[in-house]
This record gives sequence, C-alpha cells and structure tokens, in this order.
Amino acid sequence: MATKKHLCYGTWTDDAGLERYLDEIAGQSASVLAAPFPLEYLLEICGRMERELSRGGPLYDRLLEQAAMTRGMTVDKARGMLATVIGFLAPDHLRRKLSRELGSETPLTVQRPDLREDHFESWAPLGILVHIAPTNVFTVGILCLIEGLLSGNINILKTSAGQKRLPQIFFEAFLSLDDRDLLKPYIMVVEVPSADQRLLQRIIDTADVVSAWGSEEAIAAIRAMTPQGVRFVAWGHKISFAYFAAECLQDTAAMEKVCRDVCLLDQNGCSSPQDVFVETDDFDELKRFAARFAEVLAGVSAVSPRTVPDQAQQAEITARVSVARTEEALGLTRVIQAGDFSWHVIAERRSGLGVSPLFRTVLVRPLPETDIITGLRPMKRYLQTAALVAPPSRIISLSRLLLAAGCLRIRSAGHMHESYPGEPHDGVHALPSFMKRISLQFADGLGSIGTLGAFEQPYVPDLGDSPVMGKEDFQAMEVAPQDVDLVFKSGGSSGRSTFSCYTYDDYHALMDSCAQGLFSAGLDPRTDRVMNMFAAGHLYGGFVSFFSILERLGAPQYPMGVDEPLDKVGELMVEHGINTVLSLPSLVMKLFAVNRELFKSSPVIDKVFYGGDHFSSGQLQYLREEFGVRLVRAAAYGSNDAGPLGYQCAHCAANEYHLLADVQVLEVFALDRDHPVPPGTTGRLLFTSKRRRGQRIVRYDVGDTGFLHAEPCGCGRTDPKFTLLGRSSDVFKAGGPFLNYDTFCRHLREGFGYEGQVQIVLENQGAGSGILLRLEPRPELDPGEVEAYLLSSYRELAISVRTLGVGLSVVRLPVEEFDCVTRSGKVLHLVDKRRLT
Amino acid sequence: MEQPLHPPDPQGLDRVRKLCELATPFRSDTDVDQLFTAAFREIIFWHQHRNAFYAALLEQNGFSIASLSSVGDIASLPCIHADFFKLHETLSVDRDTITEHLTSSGTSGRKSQMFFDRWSFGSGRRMVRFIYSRFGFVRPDQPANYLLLAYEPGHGSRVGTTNTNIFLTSFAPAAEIFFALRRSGSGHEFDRFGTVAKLEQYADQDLPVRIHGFPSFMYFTLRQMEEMEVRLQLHPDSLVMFGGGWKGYADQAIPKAELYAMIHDRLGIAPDRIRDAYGSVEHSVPYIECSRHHLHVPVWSRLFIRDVRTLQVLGYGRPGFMNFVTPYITSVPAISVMMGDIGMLHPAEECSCGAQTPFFEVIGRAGTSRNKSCAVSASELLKKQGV
Repeated sequence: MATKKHLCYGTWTDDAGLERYLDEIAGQSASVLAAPFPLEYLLEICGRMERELSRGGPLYDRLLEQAAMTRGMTVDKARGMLATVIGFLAPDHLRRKLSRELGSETPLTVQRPDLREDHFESWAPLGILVHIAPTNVFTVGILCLIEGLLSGNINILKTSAGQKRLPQIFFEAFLSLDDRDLLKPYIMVVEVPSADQRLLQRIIDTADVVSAWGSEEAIAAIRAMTPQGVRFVAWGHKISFAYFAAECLQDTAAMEKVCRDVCLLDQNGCSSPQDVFVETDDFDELKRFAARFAEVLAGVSAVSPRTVPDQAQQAEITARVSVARTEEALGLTRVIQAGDFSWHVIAERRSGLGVSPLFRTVLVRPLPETDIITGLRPMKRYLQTAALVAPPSRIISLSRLLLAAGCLRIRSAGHMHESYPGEPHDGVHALPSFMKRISLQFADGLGSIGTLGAFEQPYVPDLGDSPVMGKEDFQAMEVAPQDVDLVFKSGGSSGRSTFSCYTYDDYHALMDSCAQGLFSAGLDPRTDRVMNMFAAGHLYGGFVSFFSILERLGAPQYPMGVDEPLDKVGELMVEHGINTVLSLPSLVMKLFAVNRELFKSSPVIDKVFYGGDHFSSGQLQYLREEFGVRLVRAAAYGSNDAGPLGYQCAHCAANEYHLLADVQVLEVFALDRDHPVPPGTTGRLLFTSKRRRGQRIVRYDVGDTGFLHAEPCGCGRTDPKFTLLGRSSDVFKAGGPFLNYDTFCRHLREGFGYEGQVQIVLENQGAGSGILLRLEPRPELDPGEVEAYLLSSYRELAISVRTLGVGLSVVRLPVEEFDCVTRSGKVLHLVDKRRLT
Repeated sequence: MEQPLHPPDPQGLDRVRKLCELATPFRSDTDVDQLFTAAFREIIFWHQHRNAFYAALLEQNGFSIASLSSVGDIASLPCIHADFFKLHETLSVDRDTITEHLTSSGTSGRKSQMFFDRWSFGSGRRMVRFIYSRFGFVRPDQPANYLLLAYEPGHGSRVGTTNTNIFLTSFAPAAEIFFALRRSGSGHEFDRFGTVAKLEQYADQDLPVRIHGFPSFMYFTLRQMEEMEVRLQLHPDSLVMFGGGWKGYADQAIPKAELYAMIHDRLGIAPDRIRDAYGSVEHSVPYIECSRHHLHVPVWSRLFIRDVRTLQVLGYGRPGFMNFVTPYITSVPAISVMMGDIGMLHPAEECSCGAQTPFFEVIGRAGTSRNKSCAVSASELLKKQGV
C-alpha cells in the first residue's frame, strides 16, 4: 500500500490522493477564498495549540521524539526548537506580529484607512501560497505555514523525507483542534522529494505566490519553475560576522560571547558568525588576536554540545584548512586548529567577506573602519547580522557604517541569534510578502459605513459551559501586573470601588471599534467639530476614551470635561462653531438650559451623542424643536466593567444597538436561570470581551435586560442588533412580585407626561419594606395623585401595597438632593437602603 | 610532438624523463617503484630550488628529500589542494617558457588556471597516446567522424577540455568534426537538433564515429533522440570517450550504467567502447576507463586516499580525499595534488582487465553537499565570487 505521507485538509493521503487533491484544487480554492479568512479563530486555535504543547503532554513528546530523529539533532536542540514554535503560536505574539508587519491586528478587515476619506482598504491574501521549506530545520516549515495562515492564504507546504513528517504531525494535531473545520481547507503539508520535478511543478503551478528557502541554487531552480506573474519570495542563505574595534582586541569576554554564538548552532544559522573582522591593518596584530580568539574558542567549544559534520561537510572543512595551511607558506594565513579537528581559526591577510565551511571554522580577517563599506558592500546581498564589539563612543558610527555596507541586523556579541516579535526577517516582513493591498471606492462614498467588517459574520468563540459572571466575580478577579496598562474605576454606585484594567493593545482595539461605532452613529469627522463633555479624572474612563475615539475618527475635538461654567461653554461653542456634543443627557439638558437664549439665536449644535444614561422622548423633542438639533444618538453603549459594548446606526431606535462584534460577544440569558433565550425574548445581556487580556470578561452579566433581534437590521450590518430595556437591577422585589423601575417611569409618563428624573429608594419599614419614589419638583405632580394613579394602573405594585402591606410614598425633591454618583452626574434609579440600616 | 621531448634540466630530471617514457601504462613492479621514487626526488629538488613558495612549504612542514626512499614515503610530502592553484599562480620556470595556459571548465564555478611548459604539456599528451595505444584506439588507418560534446573553440579559447577533445581527434584521422556546444554571441549554446541531425548523417556513412566530451550533453542528445524517436546503428568501431563530468547539470545526472545502456540502445555502440575518463588541469595525468570501466592509476602516478578529517593515508576500500602524486610537471609544483573529489582505491586484482595497477572510483565531490542550513556555506558562494 502506498504510504500516506501527505496531510491534505487534515486528512492523511498517499501520492495518488495528493494528485486528486491537486486536480481539484482550483475549484476547491475558489470557494475557500470567496469567504473571509477566519483570522480570530486562527488565533484562538493557535492559542489552544500553544497551551497544549506548553503542558508537555503526549503530543509534545511525540513531536520531540520525531524531531530528535532528524539529522544533526539533539534532544536539547529539539526542545529549543519546539520552544520557538510554542512561543510563536502565542496569540499575543501573533497579534503583535500582525500589528508590526501589517499595521493592524485586523489586517483583513476592509475599512477606511482614515475615516475622513471615502476609500476602503485592506490587506488580502494572494490565494494559494506554496512554501518550499528548508530541508533540515523542521520548525521553519511549521512557522512559515502559520505565517501563511496569518496572511489568509491557502497553504501548500512542501517538506522532504528528512523532516520525519514532523510538520504533518504538527498540523494534524493543530487541525484536530479545528472543531469548526474552518482551517482545514487552508492547509496541505506534502512530502515531495525535490527530484520529483513533475509533481513539484504541478504544485508550483497551483501557486499564486511561492516562498522558497534554501541555497541560491535551490532557489534558482524553484524560481525557474515558477510561472510568470506568480509572486516569488526568496529566503536565501546569509552570512553573519563579528566586528572587533581596535580598542577591543584584548576583550576576551566579548570573544567568549562571539564563540558562544559560533558554537550554538555550529555556525549553521544565518545569524551565526562566520568571520571575525578585526579593526587593524597589521597582520601580526591580527595573528595575535587570532591566537587569543582560538584560546577562547577552545574553552567555549569544549563545553558546547556539538553537531558533528557529515563526511562531505568535513571534507569541505579539511579542504579549506588545507588550502589555508598551504597559504601559510605564502605568508597569507595562520591556521590554528583543535587537536581533534573540532574547531579551526584561520587568520587571513585578505580582507572582505570570507565564507566559512562552518562547524566552528572561524575566519579572522582585517577590516579597518575605512574599508568597512568597500570591503563588505560587494557581498551585501548575503549579509545579515553583525555582532559589534566596540567602545560605547563608537557604537553608533560603526553601526552606521555596517548598515551602509548592507548588514541587516546589528547585535551585541552573544546575542546574534536572538530575535523579537515582529522583527523583520532578512530585511523584510514575511506577511506583506504573501499579501496584496486592495482598495474599494464607490461614487456615493458608502455614507456612514466605516468598516465592511460589520457586514460579515463576526467570529463568536465557543464559550462552552462557562458560568455567568457577576459583579462579585469581576471584583474578585486577580489581574497580572503586566496586563495592567490602564485602569478605570467603575462608578462605585454599588458600594465598593471596582477597577477595570486594560492593556494598551486591548484599549486600542476597543477604541478602534468604538470609533467605527460612532462613525456609524453619524459622527462625520469631515464636517463635525466635537466637544467632549464627559467626566475626566478620578479614574473615570468616559472622557479619555472619547478623546481616543475622536482622535481615531480624526474629528476636531474640544476636550472640555464637565467642570466649566456652562455659559462659558456655550459661548465657546458658538464662537468655534462646535456643532457636536458628546456628554451625559443630564449635562446636555443643563447646557441647553443655561444657554437657552444663545442657542436659540445661534443654533450651533447639530448633533448630540450621549452616554451613561438616556434621553426621554420629551427631552429629544425639546432639543429638536427648540434648538434644531438634528441628530441625537448614543455615543456608545457600554459598561464600566465590560467596556464598550454597542453602537447605533441610522436604523436604530433610541434603545436599539448593534453589538461591537469585533471586540464583544453577546448572549441573552433568561432572567431567572442561566440559559440562553431565543431572539425576541427578553433576558439578561451577557457579554464576553474578545479583547480583555488580563481581566477576562466571560459571560459577564452587566445588569441590563433586553433582547436580540431575529431580523437583520435595515442598515445591512450583520453585527447583532439588540434592544436595551433597562437595568436588570431596576427589577426589584419589595416583598411581593417583581417590580420594575421602567414600569414606574412608563406610568408616570403616560399618566402625567412626566419625563424628569425618577429615583426609587427602598427602605425598611417596620417588619417590611417601603418604597420611596423621588420625583423632580414639577407643579403638575401631586404626590397623592401620583400614588393613587400608580396603585390603580400598576397591578403588581397594587398587590404589593394593598395585599402585602408594602409602604409607598412619593416625594418631590430637587435632583441635586437625589442619591447620585458625585462626578459623573448619573442619577441612580434604585437605591436599596434596606440592608444598610 | 615532432621534436623529441626533454625535461628542462635533462641531467637533473633524468629519472623523470625515463619514467615518462615508460610506454606500458598499467605496469607495476619494484623497478617502476624505484624509478618513480627517484624521479620524485628529482622533481622535489627541482621545485624546491626554483620556487620560493615551495621551498617555504617544505620547510614549514619539515620535509627533507633525504627522507624519501620508497613510494610510500611520498605521502609525507606536503600535498597541495587543487583549490590552491585556483587562487594562486606559482611558477617554477621562467614565464617565457610557458607554452600552454589552461583554465578548467569550471566544475566548481571557479576557473582554475594552470601553466605548462613544453615538457609538462607534451608529457601529459604522450601519456594519453600510450594509454590509447594500449586500448587499441590509435587508428591512423581508419578515418572517423567526430562529435565533440565540448565548447566550439573561439578566439583565444583556453578551456582545457576543449583542447583535450581536439587533441583526441588526432588518434584517428578526422573525416569531420562537429561541436555540440556552438559558439553563439558571447557564449555557447547546446545545439541539440544539429547534434542529432549530425549523428543521423554520420550513421549513413561507413565510418566509425568518435564521440568525446561531457556526459551531460550526451544524455541530452539521447533524450532528444528519444523524443524524436530516432534510433541509429553506428559503425561497430565507434567510440565514446567522456571527460569533464556533468558540470552544472549534476542534478540531472543519471547513473553511468544507465547512460551506457542508453547509448548502446540509441547508437548501437558496444559498452566496452564507451569509456569515461577522469582528469583535471591541476593534475594532468589522464585516467581512462579500462574495458571493465575501471579507472586504473597509470605507471606515471600514484594515488593516496586520505581521511577527510585527519588526512591520514587510508588503504584500499575506504573513502577519502584523492591525493594524486606524479613527478612529471616542471612548470608548477603540482606534484602532489589533493583533489576536491572523494574517492576509493581498489587493488588491481579486483579488475579482470589485466592491468597491474590499482584502480579508483570517484564517489563525489567534497563540499558540494547541498548546504542545508540557512547560513551561506563556502561551497555555495565560491561559485559567485569568480576568484
């Protein structure tokens, strides 16, 4: 039976099977590429794989075992290489990579690069990406394929028998985590010997981009097989070296570090030093340096595990040393070698870049500062890392010369092999190489659409049976210090202070999302001048968040806050033509009240975006009719703990929102049990934040009730739409049936046209409870009438009062004397004082 | 070769002359060994006293001629890697006595250059004649048509293989000579259709065809014939003599036996008339396969196989560097040359062709392993430097 050595779409197959897959790949890829790539899902699967491997279970052991079987491998090296893979898979690392290489963590989302402009752009995959991986370093193939996935491409990774099917085994395990079968169509790992030119050509013929690793010869062969017009990305071999400035020729500590860089991969890495350049033009001095260096190398080499070269490699070393030994008779060289031939130092009079036969064969050559560029630049296409050993005063100027000569990386001795996330590889980033930049522009500008992402099904992670999380769970959460970049305080209305913690990355992602939301709500950064009148300081999030959001929108902004005398604010708005206000409804109303005359004579305010509370319909009518305010929408729907959650589009009624689906997940659970309810049914709104690294928000009950819409929104967005009904904490019991703050308000509105603030205070009254209803002092309201009306129209209240003896009293009180959160100015709906007394 | 050949110092190099005049290529006995050793003492002395580099090399290695009393002792003479001659010019004669300046065809991408005086060059060619004669390939009586799978000479061509291939046409009078690698513009181009057409034309004539040159282009020609469904029966005295290896086409190389079978199939040439040869400009002793396809070491040279790590001399049957020694070259001190190839030595008895000397097989080139790391290695880059 033919060997099943290829992994195609998660299934092992033999050569004949591979041919069949290749027969069908055009049709198959067309349907795969038609759908957006599940990037968020990929990150999640990578994260799961990372966790699986980090715990060192059977999968890790199996990979390690296979790796140890590859040529020239030791268990320690294999462990190190697997550690590299594990580190690479970490979602945070991948996000950073996306961000560094593509400028965005959501590079595949088609959106306006600038919300003041009419065009849309995004990165897009090229299609089918064929990787010709290097033959011995199994990790490279794996990492390349992950990069290929990050770029949204369908990947065919060509491996060879020498890799012991490690990439196949890795991706088989990886795809076993792909329970939604979303990634399988993007992955083929094939084992094809390079000699099988026919099959290799078939594979390359499917490619939209070919990424080839290897020697110049190997790359040239692949390039020749690559059809015209198919993008070709070459990762050629490189040479690295160390440079010792004249002041440091006795620096044996630095020599030791360079020797460690030499020994670590036996010079087989592209960052391994092959040459050691010495800033001198005196051959005798060079020979003395070489002697010292050899002494150090002997010591380091003796304690560093070594890969023994194979016969051909050894022959190359011996040949090179033999020539150098002969050249000693010409006075050109000085050879120092280990008694057991395990290392060689060849001091050479000739300058320029030398190429070592590797395996601890170090070429020591002269390179005065003035020759750095002329000596190295001819070989610039091969240069990679330079370890610079120089006094601090010369580091910058020598670095400049080395860079000008063509070096791509400059490092300290002993750190040549290290890399950091998002680091360019050989002078370029991989991801852009595998992608294209696409743009979209329509004559009508697509109005208030800022991102096409809102029109595509958002990714919803599987939350399994995660429990519902309440305020106390939130407060009890420990947040690792490294995940705390920004801290906001929740209102504290529920007694003790609560802190919301964000990493900057998460904060930026949330603000990006909110900016899109505000754009959808109708803020137009090209025409609007915006005053930010949210509360600032005291760890409040409102003001600074909207500062960030407006900055992202590119809208001109006036960061006012809540403190200024409002008459001055009004004057400023008229003077500066500020047509948009972002604030709390109560403050907006005050602003208009204080500046009533001014705004009537100069109707400057055109748009109001509110947060923290709601306007009543009467207030809206007042703003429109009295002051000509055209647009009043929520700036966002959010919670102090869970962050921004929703936004409004032009089709949203006052209490309707779309979910900020790129950063949040919404579920609606029944009011009385932890079970989801269908769309249209009212329940508790539970949010899961996709972007809260430290403070994980999963199924968090923010305390609001509402329902999901079954029908899609008229705007066409697929971001889930929901109606917000009120605080679930507004639902209370005072000894009888559920009572609802909103129902009190509705009856007040219906019976008396009352749109003012309402506060319900629950107090102990004898053995039972008493309900104290606070209203603003309006002449039309008589407490006795209100009480009678409520008891006649609100059935559950009547049962509580008449049957169960709950007390009810109505008082009129200036709003300032209500119980309220001091700085944000938000009026509490319900104050439960029963337990406090 | 119309004038008699003399070494540049007829007295001092008398044993060298005598050795080179041995017309029995595959003879082996103690007399030959003694002559060989004596010739070596002469040639070492010659280079030591005419070449400062060589004198320094001997001194650096503490070598003294007095220590040389048997063929085995020659192993202690410092050998020089062929690559050295690619990097340095080092003459032991006056430049104006140089008659031939040859470059190798660039197996490693680097052009090797070697300088020969009349004696060295003429002696090498005489060795070829002696060997050809031994194999019965010298046929002044029987004209032949030639297909040279080699570079068509241009102005001032110095490519050794082409020179050799032209020289090889002297052993049977040339009715016609065709070069498969035609000059075109600044370079050469393989004329595959022209080559097949020429073979078809040769097949219609009642003359032996002699094919010399690179095996790679023989293979491409046969593939072309396959494609065109051409099958020929050449004259039974036809001869194929390869040299120069697969060059830049190593990745397409097929096993020798397969190639020989293809030749037999497409051209009708008997396998014992298909011969490969081995040689290099740095070590210009010719090695030509016997009828059993073995490369015997002729009487004018010896081969030491050396461990690739320690350079210790190994015996029969173990792979290592091939270190050829020959005392005939006077122009440059290329008398003990270590090749870039890995080989293995076999005793004469393992071959039934009748030669008394051992034979070797070439296992592969050292340092041409495809570099599998991501560091550039020398074998890869030397090709680019053009030094």
